[in-house]
Amino acid sequence: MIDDEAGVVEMIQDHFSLRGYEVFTALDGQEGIEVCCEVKPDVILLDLKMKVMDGDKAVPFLREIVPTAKIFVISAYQDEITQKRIAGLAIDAYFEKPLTMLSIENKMYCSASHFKGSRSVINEPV
Amino acid sequence: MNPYNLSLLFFAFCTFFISLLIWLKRQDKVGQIYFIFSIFVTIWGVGFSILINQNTSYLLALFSARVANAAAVMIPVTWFHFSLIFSDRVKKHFKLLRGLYLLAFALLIFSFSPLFVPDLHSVSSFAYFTHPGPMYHVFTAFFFLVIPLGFIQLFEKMKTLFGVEKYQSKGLMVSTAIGFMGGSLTFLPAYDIAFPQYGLFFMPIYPFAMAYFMIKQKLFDIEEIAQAAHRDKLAAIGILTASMTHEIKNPLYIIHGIAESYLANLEDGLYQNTDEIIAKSKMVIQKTIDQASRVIEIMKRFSNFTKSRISENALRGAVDLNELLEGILPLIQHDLDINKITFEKKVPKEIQSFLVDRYHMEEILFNLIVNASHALKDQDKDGRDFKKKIEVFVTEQKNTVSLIIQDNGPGIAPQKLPYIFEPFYTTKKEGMGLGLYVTKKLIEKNQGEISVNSKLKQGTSFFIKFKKQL
Repeated sequence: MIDDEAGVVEMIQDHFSLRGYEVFTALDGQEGIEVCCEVKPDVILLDLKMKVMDGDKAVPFLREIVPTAKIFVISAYQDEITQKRIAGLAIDAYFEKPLTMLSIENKMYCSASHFKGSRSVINEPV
Repeated sequence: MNPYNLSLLFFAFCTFFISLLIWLKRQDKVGQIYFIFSIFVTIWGVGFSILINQNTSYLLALFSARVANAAAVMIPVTWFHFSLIFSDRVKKHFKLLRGLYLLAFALLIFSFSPLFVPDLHSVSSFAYFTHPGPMYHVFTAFFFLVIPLGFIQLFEKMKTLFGVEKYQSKGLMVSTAIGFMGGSLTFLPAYDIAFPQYGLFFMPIYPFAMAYFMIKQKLFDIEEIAQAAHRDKLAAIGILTASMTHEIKNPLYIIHGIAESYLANLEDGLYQNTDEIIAKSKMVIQKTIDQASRVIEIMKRFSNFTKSRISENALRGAVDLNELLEGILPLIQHDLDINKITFEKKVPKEIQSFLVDRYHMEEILFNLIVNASHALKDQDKDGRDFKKKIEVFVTEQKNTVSLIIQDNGPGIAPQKLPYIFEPFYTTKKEGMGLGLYVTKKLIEKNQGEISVNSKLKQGTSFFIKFKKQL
C-alpha cells in the first residue's frame, strides 16, 4: 500500500491484516519501490499523487521489480490531466477515491479476474 | 419657430432624457457626471433655441443668450471631468481639473454681465445673435482648449481597450464629436462670420447615436461588467471547489473506511474478545472525531475566504503575512498539484506591521498565485523539462513593505504588458480578464501600488508596495 496519507495507509493495513493478508506500507513512491524490492508483493495499491515520487513515475520501476504483480492505482483526482497521466500507464486498474473498503476488495478480485482470468492473484490468507 | 429651433429643442430634450436614462441605469459616478454635463448642454440648447427664434423679443433674446452662455461655460469643464472619470484618471489630473473648474466659475460670475454679452446683433438670417464682450473671448479660448483635452483622455483610454469596449468608446467619441461640431459652429456668427448653421441639424444625431451605442452596443452598460465579474468569480469558485473537494475526500474516505471495516470485522467475527471490540470501537470513534475535525477546519477556511470576497471597503489592520499565506495555500493546493507547480514563500517573521484589509490581501494573493499557476499550466508542452515554480517574497524597506509574486512561466509579451491591468484584457482561456484589474483595485483601496516586470520565456514578477505604519 503506497499512499502519502497516513490515515489511509493505516486503515487499509488494519483492515486487510485482520483478514489474513500481509500488508506492507510506504508513504511515497520512492519508499514504495524500496519496499517492493524487498518483499515482492502480489498486489500493489498505489496513490497517484504523492509528495516525493508520484504513482505514475513509480509504475515503470515497480513493473520491472515485480513484473507479475497487479498494480492498482488509486487517485482522488478526476480531471483530464489525471486521466491522461493514467492512460499511458502499464497498470491493471485505476480506482477513483473515495472507495469503500468492500469495493476495494471486490474491485481487486474483479479486475484481477478480468486481466488474468483468475482470482488467484491475491495470496490466500496467510 | 424655424427648423433651427426645432432641431435644437429636439437635441436638448433628447440629450437630457438619454443622459438621465444612462444615470439611472448605471447608478455610478460616470453616469452622474455625464448627466451633469448633459444638463448644461440641455440648458444651452434651450437658451440658444429661444435666442435664434424670430418671434423672440430683444429682452428675452438677450436673457436667453446669457443663460445659454452661462450653461455653455460649464460644458467644457464637465466634459473634461467626465472624460477623466470615464478613463479613470481623475487622480492624475486632479489639479488641472480643479483649476479648470475655478476658471469656469470665474467665467460664470461674468456670464450675466455686459463684459460677457453686452448686447445682441443681427447676423445673416438670425435677427438676434450674441455680440461678444471681452470675457466672451476668454470663454471661446477656454472652450476650444478644454474640449480637445477631454477627447485626448478618451483617446488615450481607447488605446488600452480591446474588442467590444474599444468599439464602444469609439462610438462615444464619434457621437459626442458630432454634437460638439454642431455646437462649435455657433461661435462663428458671434464673430460676424456668416457661416451657414446647418451644423445644428446634425446635432440631434448625437443623442441618437448615444442611444444607439447604449442600447445596441451596451455602452455604459454596467451589467456587462457585473456579468463578467460574476463569470470570473465562478472560475475562482471552480478552483476553490476542486481544492475543497479534494481536501475533504481523504478524511471522509478514512471515516467511511474505518467504520465499514469495523462493522465487517465485527460481523465476520474477526475480533477475539469483548476487550478487543471495545478497544477497536474506541479507536474508530477517536479517528472519526479527528478526521471530522479536519473536515470542519477545511470548511471554516473556505467559508472565511468566500466571506472575504463580499467585503467592499477596506477595513485596514495589521496582518501576519505568513499566517495569511498558510491559509490561502490549501485553497489552491489542488490547482498547484495537478499542474505540478512548486510553491515557495520567503516571509521574514519579524516584519513590521503595515495596514491592509486582511480579506482584500487574501484575495490579492489568491488572484496573483492563481494567475501565475495558469501562466505555468501548459509550460511543459514544448518538451522542456524544468521545475515550474511560484515564489512569494516579502521584503521590508524603511517606509514600505514589498511583496513579490514571481513565476518562471512563459512571460508576457512587452506589447501586452501595459494592458494587463485593464478590465477584460486576458491572454488566457480561463476567466474574463478581470482578475488583475480587481487585484489592482483592491491594492489601491489599501493605499498600495502594483507593478509588473516580465521577460519572455523567463517569467513574470508582480511587485506590490504598501506603506508601513509609522
